[in-house]
Amino acid sequence: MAAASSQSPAIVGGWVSDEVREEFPGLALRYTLVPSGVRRTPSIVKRQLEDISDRIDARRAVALRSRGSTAAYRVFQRQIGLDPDLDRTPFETAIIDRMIEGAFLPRGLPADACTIATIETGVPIWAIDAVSLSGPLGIRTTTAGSLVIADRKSVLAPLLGAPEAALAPSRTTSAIALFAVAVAGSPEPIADEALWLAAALASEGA
Amino acid sequence: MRRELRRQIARLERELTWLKAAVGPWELDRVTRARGPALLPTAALEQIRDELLKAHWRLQRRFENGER
Repeated sequence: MAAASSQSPAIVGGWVSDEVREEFPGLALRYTLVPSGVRRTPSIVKRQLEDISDRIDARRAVALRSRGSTAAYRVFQRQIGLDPDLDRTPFETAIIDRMIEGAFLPRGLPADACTIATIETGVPIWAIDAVSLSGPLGIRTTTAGSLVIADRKSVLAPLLGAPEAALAPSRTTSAIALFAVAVAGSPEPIADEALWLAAALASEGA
Repeated sequence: MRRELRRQIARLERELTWLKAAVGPWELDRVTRARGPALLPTAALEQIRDELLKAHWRLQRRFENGER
């Protein structure tokens, strides 16, 4: 497994609006920038996908749902009006795909980096193209009351949901932002560990 | 009030996850309708708590009856 090292990228703490922080004191946004784009999956990352495919069969996958971090995200989803069985985080999506396809299949970087880090830690990780971002990222509500990840100008993604399609990393992407949301029961150090792992994997062979 | 509702929702969701694993690992019936992600009004938190209670009761019966 790629490990966090002295070369690990800096993890930045995002802002959280006052009304959101008051309701959910344990909520935090963590993110990091990685000079990398969309690439084919390197062999070292393929081997890690094979390794977690071997370790996580159907029985283990079910058990993972009640693991500390994973359970914490399911609880938080309920508390903000989502159904964790249908409004799936990347963790739930990866586990379902693993069951259907029989393995964690390579999908290229940075997607595979996010999948491995998410499965290893239970923390969902998302990747977006960093080029168009404006200022620091944070969590706030919209005028309609929705919880979102946003930068200074725009909404980037619903909280714990998939980012806007226009922000997806592409072949022309030169830098990606990896972000994770810490919640009560899955605090910031666990999110940071997941981000370090995802960043290291996303940089493999770059 | 809201903190207590969130605590109850958390406890019910953890127990439901365990029951689903015991009774039907991939049960995907929607327990609560989509309302978020949002800072929910208290009434919505109460409805989610009540819907989780119903699902818990249903799954608990299935578990006690040995249904898989």
